[in-house]
Amino acid sequence: MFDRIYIEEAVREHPRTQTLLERYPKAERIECTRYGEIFNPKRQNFRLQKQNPALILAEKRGTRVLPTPPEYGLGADRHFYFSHMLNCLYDCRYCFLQGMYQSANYILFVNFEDFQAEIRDTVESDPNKSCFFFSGYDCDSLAMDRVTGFTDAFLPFFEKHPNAWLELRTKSVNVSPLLKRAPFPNVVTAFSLNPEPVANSLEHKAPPVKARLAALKKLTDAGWKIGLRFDPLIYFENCVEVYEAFLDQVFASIPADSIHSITLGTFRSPKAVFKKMETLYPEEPLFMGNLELKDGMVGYQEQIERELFERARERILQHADASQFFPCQSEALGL
Amino acid sequence: MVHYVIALPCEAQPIIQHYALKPCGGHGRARFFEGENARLVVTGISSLQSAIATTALGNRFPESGSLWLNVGICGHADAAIGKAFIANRIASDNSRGTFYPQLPWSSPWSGIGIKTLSVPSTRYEADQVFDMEGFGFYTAALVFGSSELVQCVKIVSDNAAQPADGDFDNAAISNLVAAQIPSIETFVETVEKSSGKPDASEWASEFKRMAKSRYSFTETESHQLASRVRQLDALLESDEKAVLGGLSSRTSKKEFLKELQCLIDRHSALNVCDQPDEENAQISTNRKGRAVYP
Ligand code: SF4
Repeated sequence: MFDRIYIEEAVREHPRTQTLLERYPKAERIECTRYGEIFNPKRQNFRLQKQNPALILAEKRGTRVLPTPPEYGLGADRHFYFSHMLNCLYDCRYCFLQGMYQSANYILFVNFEDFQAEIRDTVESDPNKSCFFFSGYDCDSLAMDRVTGFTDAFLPFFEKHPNAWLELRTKSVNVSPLLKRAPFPNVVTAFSLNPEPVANSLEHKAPPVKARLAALKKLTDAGWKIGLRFDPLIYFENCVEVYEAFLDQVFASIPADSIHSITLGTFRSPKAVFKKMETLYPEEPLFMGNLELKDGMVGYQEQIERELFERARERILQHADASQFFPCQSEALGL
Repeated sequence: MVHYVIALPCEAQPIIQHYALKPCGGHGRARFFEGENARLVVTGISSLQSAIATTALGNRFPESGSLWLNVGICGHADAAIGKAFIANRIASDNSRGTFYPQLPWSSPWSGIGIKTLSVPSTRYEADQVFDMEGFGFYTAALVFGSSELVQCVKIVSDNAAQPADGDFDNAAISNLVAAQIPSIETFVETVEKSSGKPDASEWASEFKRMAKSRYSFTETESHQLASRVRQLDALLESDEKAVLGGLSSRTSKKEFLKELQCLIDRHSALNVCDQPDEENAQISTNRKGRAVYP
């Protein structure tokens, strides 16, 4: 799976590093002082590297758990995110990671125990308040779980901290790590979903939507809570009708009481990130038309955005309770 | 196009022959050679000479997307004479910093660290090779290409059992490089196949020329024109492009640029997704010929 593995000096002897090196004996091993030497230099091409990314094993130093922006809440008292991994197995054309990082190589921060200590401290700093922790901000939470062992390390941890909620954000159908355990309420597996034409055209290397819906069903059957993430909505000809039919299809396939939360947002990106994505993929129609720059963000022209967002919102609220719904754009659109 | 940066004439000779390169001037002591698919500079020995010659070649032939290859001999503790490596780490004995060339493709060679020395040494070290150019080459070539497209290939010419004695056996060195040409060729093909960008079409150049002959664009408008024409080039079918010539008969250039944007808006909405053709096939293709799965 990996032709090259970079190993940061500090984690050379870490048991997780050793396990991974044993798992990939043929990979070329390259030692480095800090992962930034490989990941951060400017003269790198994300698109070329995406053809065969290397794995970088590193130590996450400094602050490991960060508060989310206020508009990304899911109804808990406090919301945070942490990134045990940077970059993703999949290659969604709209993904902000490709515009944010210089390198497409995967970074795995192997010091899970330090993340857990910080999550514990965060929860215990105000034990009466519920905390939500997002794990899939800089990666897909489950796509590389067989490599990272993330769920094996974090599910037992969250099971012991019922006031701490974990979101596994994913497009992966690898739900067996959850299915092999008895469900508990404070883990939400949140699937990013788009109708087939969008998924087939823009969500490269990700499992087909049908397979994602089947995985979702397996989880709900087993008693796990799930989340639905309709973000980003993509504008194309007839998109409103396609999205409405798709939303009906999704809600028809899931028992309403298994849904923890639903989020919704249209395609948008900070200007600098957008520019970089556009430079990487100059032939990509997604980056070409019907867009405008507003307050430093590139997004769809207001009328397009409003119609797409509002129609999807109305449809969602026909199927779900408003208390489950957390739109990502209401402020920008004045809704 | 591949740009070879090579220290010694005897190292360069087999490559010059292989590509049938012709001399095309030089810079200081560096000598340039050019052919249809490759260019080459003979730099002379040392990191600094290599950096200067690399910069000179890049400035003489400015073009993005080329592969830059430094090919040359090296010393290793115990690898067999003639064994070749590709650099995965490049450091220097007199400069700070380390480069990690990125290689998202398979290569015929094992990866290894290079230490670029300012004076030759026979105190070989385990797990890395010594050379005298790699660091300077890499520093300079990164100005012209991204890390994936700047690579160093080193061929062992001396080791602890047969240490370098300071005198080069030119014929032996030429043979070492010549033996690697098939591998170099395979590598260059792999990289070029995976990294090529589509060139702008003739239509795009012709359309821009026609627009510029009709209107006098400010610098900002010229950028807008270039970017819109590039986008339309990617979005439109040839028959749709053919009828676009009529657009330039409009009176105002603002209106002209606006029309181009309207076309982009319309066609990007049509092309962003592959939508199945409901009436006909189970599997159809969209307007750009990509397969659409139901
Ligand atoms: S699955 Fe998510 S993180 Fe991965 S490429 Fe797609 S958008 Fe990016």
